Amino acid sequence: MELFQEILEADLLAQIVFGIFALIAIGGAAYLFFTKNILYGAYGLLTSLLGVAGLFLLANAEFIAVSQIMIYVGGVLILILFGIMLSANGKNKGDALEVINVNNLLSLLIALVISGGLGLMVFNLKITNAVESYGAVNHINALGMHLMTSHVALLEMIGVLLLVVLIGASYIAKREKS
Amino acid sequence: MIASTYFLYVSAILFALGFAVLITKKNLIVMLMGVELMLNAVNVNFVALARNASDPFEGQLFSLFIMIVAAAEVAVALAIILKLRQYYKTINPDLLDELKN
Repeated sequence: MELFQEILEADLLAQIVFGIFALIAIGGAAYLFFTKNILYGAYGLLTSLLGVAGLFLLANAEFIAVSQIMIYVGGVLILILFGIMLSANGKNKGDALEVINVNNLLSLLIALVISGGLGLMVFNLKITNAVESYGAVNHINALGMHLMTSHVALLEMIGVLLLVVLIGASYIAKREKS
Repeated sequence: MIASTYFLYVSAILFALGFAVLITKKNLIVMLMGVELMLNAVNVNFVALARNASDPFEGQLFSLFIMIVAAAEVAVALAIILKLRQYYKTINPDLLDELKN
């Protein structure tokens, strides 16, 4: 951990690592946009999510990075793969796997405009320099303290939401006897 | 130390790409993936700007909650997509036009 921190403080190396992770994230997203195979698209999304997890690590958010990998890659993406598999059975299975692109160039142009506008806005922002590090704070400890004291109502509401989703999703997806 | 603006640039590009996926692809599952990408870009913003705040863990908690809500959203959306496919035999949003006209 000490060694990792020392390496992280070397500015150039941190920037190079940041560039690599940013390229992974953006490349995966671009692959999802350009591919016509739904399964390859899911793998592109996987790559992009892993790159974003690396970005979280570089932003001093270790716990968020780990939960990104566990929730998104281990949960959401597996769920999407299951969705692909379940919707690609039975009659006319080709329909579920078919990905039609419409207005390819137009939407790329819109994406360019959005990212350009947001980039211009960020360029004009005046952000104070971020703190170098949080010192000797135990991240998980501090996050847990927040969850159990100042954000406990949110935590309870999230728990209720997850219960509702669990029941609702299994009720919606259940097969009717006919 | 990486400046927060770089994170914001990356998240802007990711958000735009997610939006492009959402409006280009004619397949409900791939559109869902685009939404996930956009939510992830927002998360990057939260975590990057949380470093400037007096209490850095507020922003991180917020991105954690966004992740959980995104997972819940995917579960419900996939259930609805499966049901749609049972009824209409298609998940192309252009063909699900029963309420049109």
